[in-house]
Amino acid sequence: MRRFLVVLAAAAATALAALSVAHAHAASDPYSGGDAASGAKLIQSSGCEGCHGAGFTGGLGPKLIGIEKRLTPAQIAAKIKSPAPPMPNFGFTDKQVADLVAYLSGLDGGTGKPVVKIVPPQPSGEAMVLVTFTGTPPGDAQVQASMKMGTMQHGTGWTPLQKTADPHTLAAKVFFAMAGEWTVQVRYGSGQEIDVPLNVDG
Amino acid sequence: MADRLTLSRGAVLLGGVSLAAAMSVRRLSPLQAPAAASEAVEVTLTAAPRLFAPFAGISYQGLAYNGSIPGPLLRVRQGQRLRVRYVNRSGGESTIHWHGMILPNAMDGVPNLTQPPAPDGGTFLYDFVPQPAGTRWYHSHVFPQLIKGLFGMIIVEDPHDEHADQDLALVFHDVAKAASVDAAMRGISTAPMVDPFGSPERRAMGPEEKMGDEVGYAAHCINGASYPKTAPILVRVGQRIRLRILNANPTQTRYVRLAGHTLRVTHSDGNPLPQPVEVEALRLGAAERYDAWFEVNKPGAWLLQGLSADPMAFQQAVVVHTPGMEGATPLGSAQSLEGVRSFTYELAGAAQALGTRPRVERVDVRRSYVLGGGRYGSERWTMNGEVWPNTAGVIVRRGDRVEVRFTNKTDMHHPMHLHGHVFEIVEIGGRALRDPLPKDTALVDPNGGTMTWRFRADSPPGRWLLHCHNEIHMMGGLMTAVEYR
Repeated sequence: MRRFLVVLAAAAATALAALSVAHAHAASDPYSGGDAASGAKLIQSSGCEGCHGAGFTGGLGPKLIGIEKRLTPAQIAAKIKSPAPPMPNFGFTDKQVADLVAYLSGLDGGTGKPVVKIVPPQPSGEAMVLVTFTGTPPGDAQVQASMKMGTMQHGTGWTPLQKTADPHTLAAKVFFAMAGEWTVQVRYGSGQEIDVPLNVDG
Repeated sequence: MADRLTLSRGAVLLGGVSLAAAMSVRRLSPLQAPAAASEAVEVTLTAAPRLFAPFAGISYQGLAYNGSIPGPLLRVRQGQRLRVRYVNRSGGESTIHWHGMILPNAMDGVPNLTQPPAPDGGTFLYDFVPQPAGTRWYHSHVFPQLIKGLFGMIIVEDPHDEHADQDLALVFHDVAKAASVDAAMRGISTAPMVDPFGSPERRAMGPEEKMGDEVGYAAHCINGASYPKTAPILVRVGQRIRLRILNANPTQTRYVRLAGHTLRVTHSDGNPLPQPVEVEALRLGAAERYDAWFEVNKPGAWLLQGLSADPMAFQQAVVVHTPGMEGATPLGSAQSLEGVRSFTYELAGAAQALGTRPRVERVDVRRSYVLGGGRYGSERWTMNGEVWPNTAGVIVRRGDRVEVRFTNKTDMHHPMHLHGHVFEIVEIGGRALRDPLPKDTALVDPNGGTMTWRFRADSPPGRWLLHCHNEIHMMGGLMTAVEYR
């Protein structure tokens, strides 16, 4: 009993230590954890897309898609708080900067791998493909389904994924013309692709 | 003796060059040179085609006075005579209208109403004493030459004006998409709405409403250039700066902010306000001007911006900086008016409670106009159901006190302009203004908005146009005239 208590105490100490490490990490990067939805509104009202190009693909200012892969949140924040001319300083608060960092970091769907869900999971004929991103869904995501028939490849063709009520999820209808072993492919951004095998009943 | 002067293309810098600057030994900023001291100022303005490319990827076949868009900045002293020899090489008939001036009717520049237009290759002599003092402008009155670039600012200096350390002329203008102008003329506009978030135009819309603008614009400029190529304005700590701002856009209202500063507005359309108004943003309907002052209290760099929700709105900006801050990051403003104190007629005129009436005074001629039309697919914009030239005019005798009331039944603002007079706004939306506002152009609110003007018919006799300064609405018929009998 006594030994069990000691183990519990050790576990608690470990958990506390882990928590404090996490806390220290958050404190060292005050610009992570912002609200992407607030950032999106701020981006729109500040007219950022004018200089950084439609869809943030680059213009007078640099491309911002995928910026989270090139810079840390603190580095992105520094670019916003102390910009190089001709970009102006908009005088954003730290909270606003964190929101902007959150939004910009998710422009290409976020750093995490998107989750692909097919409804119904065992379709015969038409199904809905739902793709949930960890960040803001990219504007160029597409889906197609294909199956091999001997040496032939049957495919639906690429269909754009549309916005849904969930801000992280895109969706499109896909029609499976015959039973068999299909592959549902999702592609977005600069060459990212996810393949999901799917058995379609006859 | 008159100074004789012809502005050459080489003398024109960024759309702003004064008559004096071309003659003076001392090199003066093209934005702020004072007028020459002489009995008369003579100038030749030549209109001709010009390729205009203010921003990478934007190249536009426009029209320019003396090779410059905007045309040269003209400055005259109050009482000086102005003789402008107009040489028309625009490729079509043309005139110059002197917007905001009280002048002989034959000098007003309305084709086939006050003068025969100058034919292509022809000339016309404009000869008058510019008055009243203030920030005025000049532009072609032949469609679509204003849209293509035939406009410029003229300042009539008032010797009694308060001293400014710098007096800067800033013309805000835009490059229209030709296809959208054509579509707008057929009543089938597809341009997105670009009024800034938080503007009265946006607030009037429901959340799901998708209203569009008539004309879309490909580029936005100040004095002929787009940011970051606009020429920076150098200011010094302690200076009091006067900005004379014109919205030369042919259809859109423009909001203007200087980051980090409030603006003290002293004049509207060149006319002194009853009292100065302190605001964070100006609101300029098409053809309106404001004189706005600011003080430089500390070193820095700030953006003076035209605000809109257009993705390319950032182009309409210029850096204002103190010495040594040339390369510094300028402080900018969001393209939004949420929580921003903007100039309004009601603020400047101390609007009273709803239901109040303008003060009782003798009125000899009363006229009411319902502004209508503008239905999708129709090019008609009407006054009391008629389009120009079938609209009923305002018939006056010299000396009459005149009241004109507008009720705007359309869903767009109308910047109504009266030639050859300064009127006073005495009522807006059922609220009397305690301090009537002297103007020559005023935005009438949409969706049932009302506005009442009063003026004395004491200008030189003739026919003075009264019309919407949105070029599309004007061409669609929203025009009448005040006629002296």
